[in-house]
Amino acid sequence: MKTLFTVLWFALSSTVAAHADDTARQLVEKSWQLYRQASTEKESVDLHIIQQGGKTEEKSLTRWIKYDKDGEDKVTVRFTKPAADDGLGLLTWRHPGKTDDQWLKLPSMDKVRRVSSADQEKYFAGTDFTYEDLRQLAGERTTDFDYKVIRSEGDSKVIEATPKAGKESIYGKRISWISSKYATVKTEYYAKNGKLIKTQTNGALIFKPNGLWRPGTVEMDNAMLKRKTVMKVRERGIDATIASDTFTQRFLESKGH
Amino acid sequence: MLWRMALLILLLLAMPAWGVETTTTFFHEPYSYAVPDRSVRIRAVISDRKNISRVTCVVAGSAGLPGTPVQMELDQGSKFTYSVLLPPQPANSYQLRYHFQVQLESGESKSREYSTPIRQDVVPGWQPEPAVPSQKKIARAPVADPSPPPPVVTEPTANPVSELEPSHKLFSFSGSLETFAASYLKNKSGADNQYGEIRLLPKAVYTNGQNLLFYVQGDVRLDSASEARGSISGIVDRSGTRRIFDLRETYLELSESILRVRIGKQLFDWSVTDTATVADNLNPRDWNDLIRWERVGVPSLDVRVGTDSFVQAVYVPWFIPSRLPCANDRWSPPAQPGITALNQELPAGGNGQVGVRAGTVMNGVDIGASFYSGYNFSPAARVVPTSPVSAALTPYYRRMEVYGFSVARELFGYNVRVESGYFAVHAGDKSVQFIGGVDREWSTLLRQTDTLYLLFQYSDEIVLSRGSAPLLHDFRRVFVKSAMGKVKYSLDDTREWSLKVEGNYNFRYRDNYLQPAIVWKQNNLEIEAGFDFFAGSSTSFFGGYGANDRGYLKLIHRF
Repeated sequence: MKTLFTVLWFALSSTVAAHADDTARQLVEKSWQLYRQASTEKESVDLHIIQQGGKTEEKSLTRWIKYDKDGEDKVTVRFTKPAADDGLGLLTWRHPGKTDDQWLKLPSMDKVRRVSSADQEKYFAGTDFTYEDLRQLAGERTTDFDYKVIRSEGDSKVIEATPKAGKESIYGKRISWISSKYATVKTEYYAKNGKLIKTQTNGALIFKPNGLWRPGTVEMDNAMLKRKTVMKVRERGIDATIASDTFTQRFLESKGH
Repeated sequence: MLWRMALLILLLLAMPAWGVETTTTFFHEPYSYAVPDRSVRIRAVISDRKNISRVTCVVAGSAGLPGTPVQMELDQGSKFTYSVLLPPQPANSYQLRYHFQVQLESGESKSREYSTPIRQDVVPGWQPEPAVPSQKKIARAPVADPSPPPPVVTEPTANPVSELEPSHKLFSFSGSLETFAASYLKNKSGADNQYGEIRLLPKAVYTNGQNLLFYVQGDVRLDSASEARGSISGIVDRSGTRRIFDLRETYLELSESILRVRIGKQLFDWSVTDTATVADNLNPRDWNDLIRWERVGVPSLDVRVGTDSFVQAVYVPWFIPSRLPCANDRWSPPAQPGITALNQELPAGGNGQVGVRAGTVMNGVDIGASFYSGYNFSPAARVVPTSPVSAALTPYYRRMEVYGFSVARELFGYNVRVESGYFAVHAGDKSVQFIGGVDREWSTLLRQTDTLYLLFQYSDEIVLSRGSAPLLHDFRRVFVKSAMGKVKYSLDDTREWSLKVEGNYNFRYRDNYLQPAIVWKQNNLEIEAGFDFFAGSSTSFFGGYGANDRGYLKLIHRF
């Protein structure tokens, strides 16, 4: 009888846990589903990188995104400030389940070069956003992670995401706060040894009538490097008209934009 | 000729921004459509040689009634960009008509009218939310799971993001100021023991934000060895001389969908490999300093069709020679006893050169093919005896055809780049060259966010048949049977401090070149200090410059 009770108890608790995981996954998927209700996006962003001691570096960039329902997104990033970075550009073609294509244009070179997308832990252009973060900013590959709700805080659900076995991520886990409107308001990034690396806070959130959400500011507080990157969206066009060559190497080579 | 070019540039820069008024320039693109019941933010770039006292936007009233003017405000930090939030249009409107009224301090006024269609069915992302949420059904990109519907509420926090089509930057000016100083370590006998150079490279871009772009990069340089002399005498400069006042690049670009046309003085780099390449044939070279060589712009017509996959054709109507070091210069080829070097001989006719390439991306691989028919930028030498013990050497240029092929892809985290090409030089060698290289950047090796970049490349050739005329120095084949390497270590991702070493070793002649350097960078300033070392027998390429070992200091300020 005692054994039967134990078996029933384990079965029930595992069912509850599985249900909780489903809920967590649904929340994350819903959040990204609402986020990605756009065909294109263009935003002009100001970056402030604040080092320990207060020294601040300012950068400006424009980001163009072409969302694809199958995840074959295309992202172009081009810096305009400071003068030393003017013309620095990165073009990424995302491929679910395959290695992304990535090309880099350095200001000092007249040509665009294919670069490896393997080293996702590298910080991009001296900011606190790694190549993996930049990839995730357009939409998370939810099939690559296990999710669980660890608690509720105010109107937010706190969800832990851990990479599935065999899936590459530079982080051991991420803990995200997802609001009742399905917007991610905060994310903590942890190393594989469990140590907190950095905290991302999304502020000045805006919501469209269809639930599409966007942060107006993103603050990445890097506890490990003791520095902070504040990203402020200056201008944004959702479903903006974007020229067909924006996601090509030719675009990165161009002197305009 | 120079003043004609300056006039042409001034005329192009003075062209009004596609809003033809005598003095007032309007740049404004109406939205493709708007929806009723929502306010519309309008932005315009307006300038006038005279001072502007006030800019208003007037929305046409219904039934042809005059509208109410709304003052437009200058955007923060801007001198020319005005914006205004127009009130929502009634639900039954089908067109938003408005005009900008510019009042000048002189009392004159100018205006320009625009209109935007109003659609009832879709909501553009840029249009701000109404104060009271509309109950209108909104068509949008389909959502896989429409339930549960999220609350349609704007966050109570202020939204600092202007939901606009980002404005176009009409004109931009940037550039760099560079200095280079070198001290030669050997053969310190003459006035050329030291070398100093200062160079200004200003850049200006003018675009209408749509399909037209004008780019100009000037080049002003002065040096202690008088390598730069005089000023350009037009776009076609066949003097083979480095100039004090020059235009490095200047072209007009027209883009329309998949077509891009450029005309003017241009630089092309079609290589996928580093330094040694088979596809990079269109530009002659400036070899006044062999280590700091650079491409020289050519007047050309460049037509490119396609986006991800493309075909590009370039026509260069005139032959422009490479810039060779003066006789007795430290970088002139080592002199042979009894041989006197004469000036370059330029081709007389049939100077047109053509380059065509095609490229595509297939399963994560960049694939390219190219063809070139024109002159070899590396001159051959004609040696004519002038006496039993002396001869005259004349550098001259031969035509050639090159068929090239390139591949670049990522393999196990490494970038693999390969180029190969068949060279058929008229009265010269027929050969196949190939270059293969790998490179990669690692981070966080010895300390947080440090980076290490490594590149290794090998070049070789197979000669199919030998030609008759010898080459003065076949710069194109300097890297045959050679390994090239680059290592750069940056202490952190700000790249404030970096150490780098570049070098080349030729297995056939056993000569080599090595450049260790330290780089400091902060904000827009970069300082590099290093050495150039050459070793090998005096008959080898790098060994021939064995007396040119030097220490150098380079400074670049970008603005």
